[in-house]
Amino acid sequence: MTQIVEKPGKPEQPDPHIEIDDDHYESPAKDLFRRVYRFFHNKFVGLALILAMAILSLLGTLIAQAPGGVLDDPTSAQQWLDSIRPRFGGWTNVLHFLGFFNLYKSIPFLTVTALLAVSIVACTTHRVPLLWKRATKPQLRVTDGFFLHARYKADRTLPVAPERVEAVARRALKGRRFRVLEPEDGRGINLYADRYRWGPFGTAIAHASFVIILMGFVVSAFWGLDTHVNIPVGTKAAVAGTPYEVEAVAFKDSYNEDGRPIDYVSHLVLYKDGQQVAEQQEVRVNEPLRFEGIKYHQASYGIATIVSVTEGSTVLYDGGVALQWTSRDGTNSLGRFEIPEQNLEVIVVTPASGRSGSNIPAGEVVFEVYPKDSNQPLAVLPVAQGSTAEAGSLKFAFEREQQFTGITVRSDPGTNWVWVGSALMVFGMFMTFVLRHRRVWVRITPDGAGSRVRIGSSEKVDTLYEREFGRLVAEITTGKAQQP
Amino acid sequence: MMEIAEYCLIGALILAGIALFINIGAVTSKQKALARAEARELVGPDGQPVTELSADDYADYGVETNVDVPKSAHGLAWYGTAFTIMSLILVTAYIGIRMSVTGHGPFSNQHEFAVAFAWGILLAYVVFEWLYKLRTLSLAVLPVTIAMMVYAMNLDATVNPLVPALQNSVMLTLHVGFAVLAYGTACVSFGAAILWLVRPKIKLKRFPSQDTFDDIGYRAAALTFPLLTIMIVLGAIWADTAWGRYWGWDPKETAAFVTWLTYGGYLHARVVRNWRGKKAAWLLVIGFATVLFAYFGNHFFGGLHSYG
Repeated sequence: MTQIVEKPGKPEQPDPHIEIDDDHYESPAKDLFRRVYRFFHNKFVGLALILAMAILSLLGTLIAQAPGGVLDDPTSAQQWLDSIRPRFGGWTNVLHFLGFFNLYKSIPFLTVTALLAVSIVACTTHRVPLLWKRATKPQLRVTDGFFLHARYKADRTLPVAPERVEAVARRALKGRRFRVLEPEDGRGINLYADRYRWGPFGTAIAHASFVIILMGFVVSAFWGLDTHVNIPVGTKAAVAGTPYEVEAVAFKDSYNEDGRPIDYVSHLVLYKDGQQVAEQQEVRVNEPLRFEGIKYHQASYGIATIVSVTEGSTVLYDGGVALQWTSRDGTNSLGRFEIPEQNLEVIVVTPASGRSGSNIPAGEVVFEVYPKDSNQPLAVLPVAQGSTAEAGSLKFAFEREQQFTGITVRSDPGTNWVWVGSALMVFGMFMTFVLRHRRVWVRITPDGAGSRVRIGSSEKVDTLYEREFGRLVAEITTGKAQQP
Repeated sequence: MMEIAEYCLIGALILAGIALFINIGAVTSKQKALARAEARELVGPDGQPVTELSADDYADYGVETNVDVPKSAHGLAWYGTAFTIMSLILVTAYIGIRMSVTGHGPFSNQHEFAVAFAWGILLAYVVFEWLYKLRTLSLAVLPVTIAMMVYAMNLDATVNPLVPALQNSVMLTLHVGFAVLAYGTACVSFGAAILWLVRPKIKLKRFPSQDTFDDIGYRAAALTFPLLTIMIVLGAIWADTAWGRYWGWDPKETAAFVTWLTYGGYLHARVVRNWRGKKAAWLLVIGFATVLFAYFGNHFFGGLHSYG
């Protein structure tokens, strides 16, 4: 009679009759390398590292992260920490010490990431030989006990000759895209069948792809270009560290009747070593200007002041100053520029647009002139539009206000690594989860005038495969197997 | 046009509610027709359904299969499925109408995304019900989709123009579309995990075994994980176009990464550590909690994804 017995609720038992791919490393750990290797290909270590990374990333979303560069400077770091101290109280300094306010560059996070990468490499190199062996040298013969203990099994006596059952079994298996092999020891009719034996290599591909993506992150961190320029319309700005200059020919921001932004668009012209090399009339958030691997993205906009500083007939500064910050009380907009020849820093203050309460009259700016690295101003100069003011030998002029467009300039050689890794990851997952390796053993022995057929498959609980196995068994035991 | 869409959404909610009540009735009822329908759903160790065997082209031993192919039973449970599918159709109609009005996928604000989330759950549930012939799953999954529809109805449904960052309808539809599919399958795995956890307290004989729920939870998570991967990769491609970097530790990005790691952790725990049963079920519950965390994060994360 047909038996397809599943034992629900029982813990999964490794089958002693066929080879298994668990963690047992047969050689004793004799040297440090082997011990370290064993540690890292231990799946529990890998799992712990995945969960550690998940917890750290979660903390990164829950704990305020300092804006880029703020924590590098002690003064700005202290100011920023003071601003969040009401929220984190006594934990502020502890979290700062642990690096949790810049978590993704903190030592704990980078350590877990590096350990995870090593663990993935160790697991993959450990597993691939086992997968290779299973795919190329499968165990063709199993013991009789296997047919008793396999999760999915059938045992039936049929009133037909073994050879006929074998022919049907082969046909049934091939019809389900199994390849059929048999041991060459001549001991009865034994069939081994498997399907998608290369599927499990998808796990190796997916794991390797994660390491490739991490390498992309490393390349990005060390070799990428990431800078920002605020360009008052009608002016050029140099892109630091490159031979490029960007001119903002025009900028337009549009809103609907509710005041919701609809569009921000810049007309940019790119110069290399003084020569125009590219132009794009509509640079939007989703439509950057691309040239020689560098992308120019529309990122922000605002108001700039067009000012000049002269000393006698020498022009020390002439251009726009983006008012990109707001005073703490929100009433004024601030911008800054430097006069390197005089070792001076100048803060330009104007009343914030749409806010009242500023002590600066509309249509006027205030130049605050500081020696570099000092908070004591040398001069504070209110200047009306179209006028000038003097401080010592320097003459400060406020010409007019003008819109500026904020352009983020980025080039990232790590990107291609990430795309290759991502493609491999999706491909590897497809292989792993869709092309599951299935193995079936069939033993057909004479039984009186007929045959006894035993079919076994050692798989974990899998309802859908269980149904397929049931159909396979039905086809073999009834003889109703379709032609492949 | 939008008025018709609103009716579709209300209708979908009502139908999903009716489907849930019917399925509760079907699971607890002792009617014979239901027993027959459930017997078909409960694929036990004996009596494997043998279908798709026609009499042509077979080399027959003359031995008959002893498997009884059950006839379709248009009982209460059948109507449960029918109402669920109708609910899915109505949510699809709502989304379709809204898309025709807005010209982009239904993902530009929290209301649209909530409806899309409910759609994803319904779709994943219908697929899994079809695969496993298991309506019991609806007892844990349909309440989530109903809650999501009620939540969506309480949000501002006004059609507003897309902010400039979202004005890339291909990437918007693909990126968030895969998120919706992933979230739907995540909800199915969550439902299976919940049913695994409550199964010992349920005395109904015809209630499926814990192993079945364990298997469904795994299958759904094994689908969630690649879908999440594709969603994150598409997001990275879009971020590279719009912001010039594929990854920036934006809070929503990071929350999606936490979700991805959680499901990755579950799959590793199950496959290589053989975590099944209680531990695996709780990991799936945590996994869906991270999905909800990522989804509702718009309200408190800030960052570049705070559109809703």
